[in-house]
Amino acid sequence: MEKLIASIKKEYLVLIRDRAGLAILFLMPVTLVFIMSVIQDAPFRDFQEASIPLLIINQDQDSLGVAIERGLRNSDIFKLESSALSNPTEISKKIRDDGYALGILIPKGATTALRKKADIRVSKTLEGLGLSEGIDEEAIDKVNVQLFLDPATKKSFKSSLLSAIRQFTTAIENKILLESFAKSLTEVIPGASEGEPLVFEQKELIHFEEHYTGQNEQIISASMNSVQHNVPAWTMFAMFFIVIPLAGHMIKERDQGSTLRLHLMPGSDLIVPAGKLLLYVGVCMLQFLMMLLVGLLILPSFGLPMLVLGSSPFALLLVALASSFAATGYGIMIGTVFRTHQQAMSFGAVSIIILAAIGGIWVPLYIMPQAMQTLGSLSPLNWGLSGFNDIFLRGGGLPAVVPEVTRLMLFAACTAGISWWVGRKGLNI
Amino acid sequence: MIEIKDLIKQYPKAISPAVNSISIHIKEGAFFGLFGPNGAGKTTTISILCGLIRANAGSAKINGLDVQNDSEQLKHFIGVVPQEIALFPSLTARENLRYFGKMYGIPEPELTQRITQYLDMFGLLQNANRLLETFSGGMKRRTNLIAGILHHPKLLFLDEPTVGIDVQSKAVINQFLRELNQSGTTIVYTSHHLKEAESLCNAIAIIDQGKIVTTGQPQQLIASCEGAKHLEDVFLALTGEALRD
Repeated sequence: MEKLIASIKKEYLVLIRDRAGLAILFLMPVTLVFIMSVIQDAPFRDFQEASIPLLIINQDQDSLGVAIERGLRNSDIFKLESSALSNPTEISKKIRDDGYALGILIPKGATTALRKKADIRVSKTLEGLGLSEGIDEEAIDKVNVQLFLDPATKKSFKSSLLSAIRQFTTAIENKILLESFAKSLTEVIPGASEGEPLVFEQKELIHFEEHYTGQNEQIISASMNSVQHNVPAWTMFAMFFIVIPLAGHMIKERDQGSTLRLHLMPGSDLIVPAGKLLLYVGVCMLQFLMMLLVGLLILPSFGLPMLVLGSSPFALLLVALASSFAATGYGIMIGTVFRTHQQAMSFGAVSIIILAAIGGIWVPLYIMPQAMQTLGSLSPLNWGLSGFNDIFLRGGGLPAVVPEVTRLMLFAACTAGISWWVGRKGLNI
Repeated sequence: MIEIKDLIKQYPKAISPAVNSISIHIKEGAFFGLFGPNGAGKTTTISILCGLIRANAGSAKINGLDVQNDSEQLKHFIGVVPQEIALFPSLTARENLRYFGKMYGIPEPELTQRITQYLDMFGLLQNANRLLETFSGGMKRRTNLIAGILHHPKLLFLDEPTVGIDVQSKAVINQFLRELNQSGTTIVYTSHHLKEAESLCNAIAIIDQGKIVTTGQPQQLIASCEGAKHLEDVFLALTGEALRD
């Protein structure tokens, strides 16, 4: 035990005096998580929160125009600006030059035209019942609400916008139609005009109820946003980036001969790597704690959402520990397998960047193509990230993270086994 | 103390064996010098005796224990001072020695006493808390030696312990080794400084191309070699003057 403590203390002293290594371990991840959270904040927000700039030209100023304008304004999707322009070319130019995503022109008399259209529809319906005389719909002008779109707008984004606008116009269309119907019925039903005015209730007939497919629906409190993604993602990246100082120290010690001296000491073959493993697992846990604090305290002070931790601290600790063991095991393997400092640093850094990219650290795995998603599920960084997401977003507890924890611990065991085998055989690349 | 019989070590892909059927007997309490040109097989022989590498054939025993099968037991009473400064540059001299002392299982307060005693003996006490990377070459060599003897080994292997250091450091180290040997520690020593070896060793072997070319006491070997005044003359007479690397 005393040897193990001495070994851990030695690793600590070596690390604490390596300023570049400390910067890689602690400064780099904080900087990365901060920058990435800020950069990805807007893309991560639902478009309901994104305040898309929209130019509105409301020439109608009646029910339809007012309803559309109010609906758009209340939706929080758009940042509305009104304009008095009427020429479509001028509107297009303004949208293009001033960076609007969308423009909407509600022409003068649109509500009047809509009411007339509604009256005709009702009249036609009643005509079929022998209650009214039909009117020729062609005689009435069409209600043309014009939309101006930035050609750079993504197809999916455009369809979402159109769907939202259609929702507001449909509501007012239905309202006017029902009002017209009530008015016509009052006129054709004998004696109806003498009593209470006929009113159709316009409440929604269908109600949507949201259910989340997490482990515990009661405690779902976080939705995916840049903080919920970036904090665990860059924590995983930081943990695995210990390969740089860890493998670097190991190769330096081997080059300097101190590893050889340790081989000559009784019972040191397992104690020395165990000391490294425990110290660096501790470092990873410290990184994890630091990143949580960044998500809880620092990012919210810059206007970003606060990190939501879920409700299972034990599962969280377990995922963090398993990730730490996997990252440290990988670092020790790189330090053992490669012969030179340069080889280990190059391979170590590049491999972590690749594992991070395919593992959904930079962008979530679910927005990648299917083939990349399959490939990404092989990355240990993705296992850790997925474990954190199980707890943070899906409300999972211990049973939810067992698969990820098992994979990470098996990965740690494999890397440790390879290191031991290479160390015994002296099979450095 | 050490009994080597027909020891062979062939490295993979090497044309000839690094150690080619050598046999040496080293008595307990000897100050034994193993000399040879570069690539002669000195370091390979010591590495086999320390249990760092395995021989292909032959046997090597220390105090009756097989160096390959009983290496864990042997580690307790073997000390090694490698040619490299096998220490941690970002630790102080005291931290380095404390770490290696702990790894040898030396209990406190004995460890602290020994560290202080040796640091004082080698003129390093004033600088004990300085990082090793700030030390001069001589100071590093002296610290390297202390790390190899801290656990009081019965058998000490020294691979070029005085290479690249000043005369003063060399004198301190050699004087210490003499006293250590006189106190009963068996020393196996390799060096290119044959004059230094002449004054230190009471038995030597010259190895060349993996084979022992001669063995005996330095003065006897000088006397038996025609025209030789020093060990260096014997060495050149036996190994030739052609460059080896």
